[in-house]
Amino acid sequence: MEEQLTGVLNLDLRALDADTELMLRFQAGEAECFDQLVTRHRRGVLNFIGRMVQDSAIGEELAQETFLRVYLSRDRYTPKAKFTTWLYRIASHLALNHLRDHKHDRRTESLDETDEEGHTPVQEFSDQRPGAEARLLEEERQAFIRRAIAKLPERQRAAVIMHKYQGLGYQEIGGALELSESATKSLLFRAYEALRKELRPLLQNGEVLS
Amino acid sequence: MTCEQARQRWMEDDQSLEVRRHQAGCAACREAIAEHAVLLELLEEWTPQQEVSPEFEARLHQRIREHEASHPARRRFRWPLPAWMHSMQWSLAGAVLSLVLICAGVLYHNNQPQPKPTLPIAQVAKSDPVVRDLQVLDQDSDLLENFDFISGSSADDAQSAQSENR
Repeated sequence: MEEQLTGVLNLDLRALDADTELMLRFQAGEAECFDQLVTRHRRGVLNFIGRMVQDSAIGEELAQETFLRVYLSRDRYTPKAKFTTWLYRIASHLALNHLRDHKHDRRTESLDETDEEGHTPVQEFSDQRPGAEARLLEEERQAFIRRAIAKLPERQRAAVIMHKYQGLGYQEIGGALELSESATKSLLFRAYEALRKELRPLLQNGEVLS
Repeated sequence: MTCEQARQRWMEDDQSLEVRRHQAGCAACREAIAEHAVLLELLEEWTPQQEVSPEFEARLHQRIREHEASHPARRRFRWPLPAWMHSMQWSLAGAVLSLVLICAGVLYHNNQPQPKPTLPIAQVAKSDPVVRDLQVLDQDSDLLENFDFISGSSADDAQSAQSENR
């Protein structure tokens, strides 16, 4: 296929990534290419959405919805950008829509819940096992980071997760969030600055002080 | 350059002299940059919480089947083209249509009856009797216009001669 393209259209196929090629083949009727795309990206999409909504069940539901939309949109797909840009645009839309629709009835994190004596469920659970202190500390640090990211405005959160955890570049993040490259850089800068301030206790002392 | 601009440009891997010079002279920016490096390491600690469930694909295909059952297939007609051409089928169709229109235009233009070559006016005047008649009439009208003037002036001459004789 690559030879066909380069021969007839003189295109630089190195610009067309393997995912785009799989998507075009799926579009042409090779159903197994869709399965390959799912296998390649299911973990990334699941973790992106999971981190966005911070709920594993909803994360899996929305990750499936993302791939369902890829499947249903195959006829409309045009390789204008990298496949991952398109994929993460769908995933971002679903995650942001979910966050917008459930802004008011979002459950508080179980880690934030405290009993009458001020103990968190993690403390109650962890104290019963050996190495409890170290584990508790690690869990507290993770919860602190998670809360700091959850406090970010939704688009900043999406940009940070795509940049830091999914390894996407400015152009891809901009494509996914429908922003220019300079707006994406600005968005990321503001997000990291907010995180730096929020996580300062950990950055300076390495301990959760709050 | 403000501190915010300097920090943003540094974060974007801008190593220009301007940015480095700002950092060298600004303790707050140096601290922020050091904290940013620690922040990136700290964020690594938030490891993925979720593994892909073994039924992920099976459930996805189940959803696809359910969706297709509830929305009967309305797949668009697809031309029997190679895979890579499908994404640009409309561009190709546009190019073919443009080519057809250009060819049709050229053919139409070539089949138009050619207008007979026109003769220069002088030749027409010599060869066409109608034109000759018109030219004669033109000359006659000049004569008639001048006739009054000619006849008027000869009458005046006669009157002045009579008065002199008296």
